Amino acid sequence: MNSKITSALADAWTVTRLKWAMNVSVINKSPWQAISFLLSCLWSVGLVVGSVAFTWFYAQSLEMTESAVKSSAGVLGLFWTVGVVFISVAQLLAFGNSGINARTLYRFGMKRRSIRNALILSNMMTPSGIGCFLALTGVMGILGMHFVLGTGTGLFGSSVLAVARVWVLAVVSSLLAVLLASVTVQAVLALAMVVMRKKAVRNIATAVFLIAVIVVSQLSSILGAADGASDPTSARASSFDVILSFGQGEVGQWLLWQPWGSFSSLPVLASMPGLVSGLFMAVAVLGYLVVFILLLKLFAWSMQYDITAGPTLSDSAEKAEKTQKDAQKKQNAMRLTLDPFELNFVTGRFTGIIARLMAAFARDMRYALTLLIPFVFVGIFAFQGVMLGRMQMMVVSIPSASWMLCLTSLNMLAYDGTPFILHTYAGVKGRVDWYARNVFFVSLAVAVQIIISVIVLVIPGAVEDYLLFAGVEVLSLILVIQGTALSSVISSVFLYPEPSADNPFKAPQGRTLAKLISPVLWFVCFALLFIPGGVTFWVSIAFFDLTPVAQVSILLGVQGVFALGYFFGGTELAGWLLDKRRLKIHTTLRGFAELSRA
Amino acid sequence: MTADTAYSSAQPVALSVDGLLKTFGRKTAVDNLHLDVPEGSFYGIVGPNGAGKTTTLQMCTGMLLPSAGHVSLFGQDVWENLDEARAVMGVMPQADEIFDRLTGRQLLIYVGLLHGMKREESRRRADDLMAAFGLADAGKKIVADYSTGMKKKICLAVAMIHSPRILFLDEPFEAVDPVSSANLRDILKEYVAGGGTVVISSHVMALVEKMCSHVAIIAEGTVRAAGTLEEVSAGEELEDRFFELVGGRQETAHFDWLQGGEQE
Repeated sequence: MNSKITSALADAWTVTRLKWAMNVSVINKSPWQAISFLLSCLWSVGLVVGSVAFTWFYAQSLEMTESAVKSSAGVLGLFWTVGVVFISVAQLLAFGNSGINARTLYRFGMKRRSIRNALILSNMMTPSGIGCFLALTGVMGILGMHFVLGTGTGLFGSSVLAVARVWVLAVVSSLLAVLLASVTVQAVLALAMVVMRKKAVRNIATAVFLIAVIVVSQLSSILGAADGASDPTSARASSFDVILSFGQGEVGQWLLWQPWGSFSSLPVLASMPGLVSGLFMAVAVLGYLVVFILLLKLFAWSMQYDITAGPTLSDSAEKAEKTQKDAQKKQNAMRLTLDPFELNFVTGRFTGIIARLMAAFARDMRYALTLLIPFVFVGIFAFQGVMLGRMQMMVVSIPSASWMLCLTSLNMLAYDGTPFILHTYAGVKGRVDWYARNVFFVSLAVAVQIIISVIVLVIPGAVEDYLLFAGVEVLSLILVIQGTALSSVISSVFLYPEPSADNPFKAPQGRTLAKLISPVLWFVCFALLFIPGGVTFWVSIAFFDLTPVAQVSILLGVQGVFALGYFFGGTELAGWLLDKRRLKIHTTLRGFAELSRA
Repeated sequence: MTADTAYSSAQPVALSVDGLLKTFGRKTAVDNLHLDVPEGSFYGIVGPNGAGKTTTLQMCTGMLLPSAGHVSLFGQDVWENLDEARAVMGVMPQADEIFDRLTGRQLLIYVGLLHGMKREESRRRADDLMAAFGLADAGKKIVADYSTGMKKKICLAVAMIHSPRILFLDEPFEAVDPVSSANLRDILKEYVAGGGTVVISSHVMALVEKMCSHVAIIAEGTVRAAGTLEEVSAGEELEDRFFELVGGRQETAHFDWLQGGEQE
């Protein structure tokens, strides 16, 4: 038995070192990777410190009552369970391709049982795994200690020993909770390698996930409407508050009885007599063991299936695969009848680039998704409008869509990737490149704006003030024109990795950090671009006695002229920067390609 | 045979490399390299991995700034006349350096347009190239669905569509099956026969022997020998001469634990 445990820990340590070696090799590829890694470590530290500090201060406000103990435990159980579910779903959507997986280790020659143990245990040895363990221990320990010292009763007896027992139980419970979470995540990851083989399944899973994210973000509105309140948001401040109220109520108590919830809050419950009954412990332990074993079985089955099935499919499955591929080829061929390069306007470099972008939007999921998001905004605002009884909110979807589309052209060179080199080989000048791209994006954005405007106009009650509507349309146009030019300037200077076209949902390393910084930079610059309009508006208010309509008209007029100036000036600047930094951009894009392969 | 090329002074030079140097920090990838590629030749640059072949080609094609030295293409400095240089050179992109969401035909038309050709001319040349490369049936298929051999062909077509005077190919036959390799070789020979110059890098001597009229052996960033095949081989087998110049050949290692047969 001892040798099995030792062997399992040794395997886990080997995989942990392998993960670390891979991290180091990725960190060495670019400073962004190093910064991203450092921030992730800081995040783990922050999680621990923040959780503990928050819990400490939160605990001071808690009363020494049974309901306070139960609601605290319920919230803890809910957040832990939701966290595990969220991470599991994220692993599922990685399609089983994240980092080191069972398939990879098997090909390296590792035994299957060793793989299972190694992956589960090594997950707990990562900075985030250790961070979760420490954070959960801290939270349970502080809450339990607070209640124990406050009540002087409970399972732990006298105060000094009681505090020690609380912390010991917190460590043990936390270890068990993190272990179960790790087993869950790894089992789902292994399952993903089986289930997510088909493109249709991946698309459905992604769509469901996106819908779930939207539903959760709109939870306050949904529940408010269900409550029948005239102003639902007055009762429920945000989705976070909604979830918090679930934890404090019956949902939280129910979750305490399931394995992920029970061990993430046991020390808290145990601090008050009568809350941890024999039945509760029996259910918790039995439930934990059953789920643990089932997840191990699921992991083993999934791994077995993936390793043995692999690329070799059964006859019927092979036939089905071939039929699907043939259908896809036929679909490709059908799409090709709408060949943008056959359109009459395509005559040279400028229009050729536009034609290529048209083809990209038709065939590359990454581009196509960017067109979907503005319409998601329309849906969200329509939903909110219905829930709140204020359909006029839908007008906001027009500038929101325009703003999103401006961001679409941000990092566009990274979307092109290493094939951008063809532009360099052909001697395409930066200004020609960016003028073509920007004209295309503005045209596309205007087309989308027209479609969304028609949708908004058609919906009853959405447009009551046509003057306001006209103002919003002009504002949206201004957003598009100057935002697109700004995106081209930033794109020539600051690039970050994008997923490949073959795997549009697999984010390459280092992307998260850069994707946070780039839009922030964009927003700051975008705000500065509104200075002329802002100054004009201030002057019109301060020195002239004009109607609000006149003031806004002047603002939009001035800003509109500047927007055109920004468009041409920005595009010229972007072209100049592109030419100056061309070789460096190619080196960066090659680096990104290597990251995608890592 | 010295490091300087021995060729007829009457033969015009397509590519002239003089004192080329490239350092990356403390590492010298290309060290004072001299090379002259005659016009109309099929020039092979061979060397072991890490010899500096790719780095040299990147500097010659304006994709990597040299630390020192000059590169001239048909008498004009490449780095001072980059636009003119790009117009006369064709660089074969790697398989991941083409827009694979376009069909083969669309890709060629697009590259033609990028080179400043009119659409009709681009279409005509694209159709000619697709037929010549045996890709006519795959013209409506997106490049992402092409096999490795087909991708190599389309990459070569991309390099040729604007009718360059000189072609640069970096290890074009890597991972390509023998049939596709043979097809590519025939196309390149046809191009050279028509007056074009080809510069190809490889670490496969047999390939260079079969295709090239001239060869330069590079190791550790310097040219060890350059000239026609006969001049460089100097009466020996080219491969043996390669090992002699490059060095690094080791005695066969014997491992007592590596037994292919039955374990005792």
